Amino acid sequence: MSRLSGPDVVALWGGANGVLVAILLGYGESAFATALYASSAALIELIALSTWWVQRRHSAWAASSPGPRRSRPAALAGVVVALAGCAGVWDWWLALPALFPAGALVGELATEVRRARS
Amino acid sequence: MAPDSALRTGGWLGTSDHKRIAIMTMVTALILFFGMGALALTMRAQLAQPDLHIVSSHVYDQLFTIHGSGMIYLVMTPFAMAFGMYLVPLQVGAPAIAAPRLAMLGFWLYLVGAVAILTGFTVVGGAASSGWTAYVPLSDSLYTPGHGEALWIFGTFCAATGTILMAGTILWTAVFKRGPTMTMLRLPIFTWSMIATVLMVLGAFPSLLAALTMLVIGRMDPSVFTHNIWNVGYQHLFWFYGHPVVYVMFFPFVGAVAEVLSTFAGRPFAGYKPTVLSLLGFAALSMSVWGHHMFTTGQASDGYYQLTSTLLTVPAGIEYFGMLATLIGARLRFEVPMLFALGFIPQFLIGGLTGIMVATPALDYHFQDSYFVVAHFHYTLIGGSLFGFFAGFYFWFPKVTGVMLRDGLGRLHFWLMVVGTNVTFGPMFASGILGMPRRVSTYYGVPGLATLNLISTIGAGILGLSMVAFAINVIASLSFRRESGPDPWRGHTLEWATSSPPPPLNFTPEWPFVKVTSFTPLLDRRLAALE
Repeated sequence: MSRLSGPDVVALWGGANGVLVAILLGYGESAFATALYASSAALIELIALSTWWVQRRHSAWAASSPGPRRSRPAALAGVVVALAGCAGVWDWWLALPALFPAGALVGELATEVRRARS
Repeated sequence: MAPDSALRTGGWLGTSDHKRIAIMTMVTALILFFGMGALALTMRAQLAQPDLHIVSSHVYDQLFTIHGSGMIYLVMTPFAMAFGMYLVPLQVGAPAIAAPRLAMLGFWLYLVGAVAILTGFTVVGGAASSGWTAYVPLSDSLYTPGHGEALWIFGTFCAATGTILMAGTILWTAVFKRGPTMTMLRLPIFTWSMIATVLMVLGAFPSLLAALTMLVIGRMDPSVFTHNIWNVGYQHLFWFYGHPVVYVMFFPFVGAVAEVLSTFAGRPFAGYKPTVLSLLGFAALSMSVWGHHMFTTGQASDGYYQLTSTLLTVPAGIEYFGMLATLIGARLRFEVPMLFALGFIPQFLIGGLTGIMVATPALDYHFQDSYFVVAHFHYTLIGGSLFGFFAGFYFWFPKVTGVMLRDGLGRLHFWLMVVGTNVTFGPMFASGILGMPRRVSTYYGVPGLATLNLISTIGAGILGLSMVAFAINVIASLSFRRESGPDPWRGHTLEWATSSPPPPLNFTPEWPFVKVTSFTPLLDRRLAALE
């Protein structure tokens, strides 16, 4: 118990949901509802598996804080999503202005990758 | 570039400091909280007497839709995430949150979502008007034409996606970024409550995204919803998100209440391990009860959902025992955060016990869509979540700002809120039993109903006044500062071992990381100094 790790907690929680899915199956609930719950439990187990894998293979990377960085790409992505959403609600051409922040976003990320490599 | 200056180059809008992201989320949610509260007051004014015409039925539909969805998607859930983003890195001894730019993207998506949903009020046909559940056919393009509903779908999608991103960063921080001596079983209860919360977000919120995608398809081709699998399937997807979200809006504040109770009782929280286990069990069970919202469809396994819903009382009971055992025999300090935490205990109990009632099929068939249900969930979300939120807000405000909130105004806020909550929502149990349906803009003058509604409206006014006291308190305290110092409450957890507000990387040589030997490291240090 004292050696409980983070991935263990996620996996156990997903497992508890798995037990509840099995009981739901026993009650003869519809296939749709059972599949929905089972897929959610599977998603949690997938997260547990990923965290376990990261812990085994990349624990130093996962625990590190690469230092503070500006989060301008996040703001640009937000603008892109907003304009794309307007296009979805009103008309497609509203997506055109989104190309500018999208271009800037790609530029920012490319610069960052270049810097990281050098 | 030095870390501090790098953090500041982005200012607020381009920051990657988890504390600033959390503060921006909190401030946005607080502004929206007052807006959504104003919508509620308008609705209560409309219902004060039978046959009033303060707003039209169509506007009333928009008010309850945006009030309900706004409070859930844009206020309480972001409050929960903001608490987690600010406090989890501090409590686990991390210098930063994991993937801070993802957290920031989460904030932007939330903001875009909020703007989109509220923009609905400015378009032809008005805002969304099909309730926070957006059931079909009410929400399809035949019955709700216009862009308001589409904006609501887009906004909700963005806000939910933003929440998922924030949740992911909090989980990653708790799992991987803990300080050197911070094992899982030394995590504070608040952090455990956030772990349970974000697990529910990651397990349940994708289901909402799928449900919203169904709505988009349905608005393009309403005929798809003539098939039962679409109608009932939508309800399953929606409620698979819709029930756990109640716990997402509640768990962080249970954690906050636990921290406040133990701090002002001056002892560790009683029954740490059973409480942690019950939080995780509670969260797992909460994923399995969604079908109790669908009893009246006749297409859900009533027995299973009743069983799991009733089982929720076991972990809830363990948490209550822990809270009461922490209080019994302790020398309590009745500061404002403690008042809110104590107010939480009986009021959430009312919400919880009536929840068991409506999760019983025989009773649910009677109470479905009545004001009884409105009273039940407002007792859980106001009597429970909001009291817990304010306990945490008053408790951690000095840590976040370095400033103490005014005690007198805090007490006024508390007592007005206690009276307002119970005068507003208590009578709704009776009006529900008398047959008052929810989501109606007026009602017949059935004996009793008019009086009960008038009392509820007066209570809503008192609740509104309590929020005025709160707003004045925050503004006055920030304008006329009384410095708090690093640890004004004699806290137990790591965030109180650093400055108020904390430095950009949380712990510095000046404010070093404290060695952790239990879930109350600062209390341990204080007790060791006494010996």
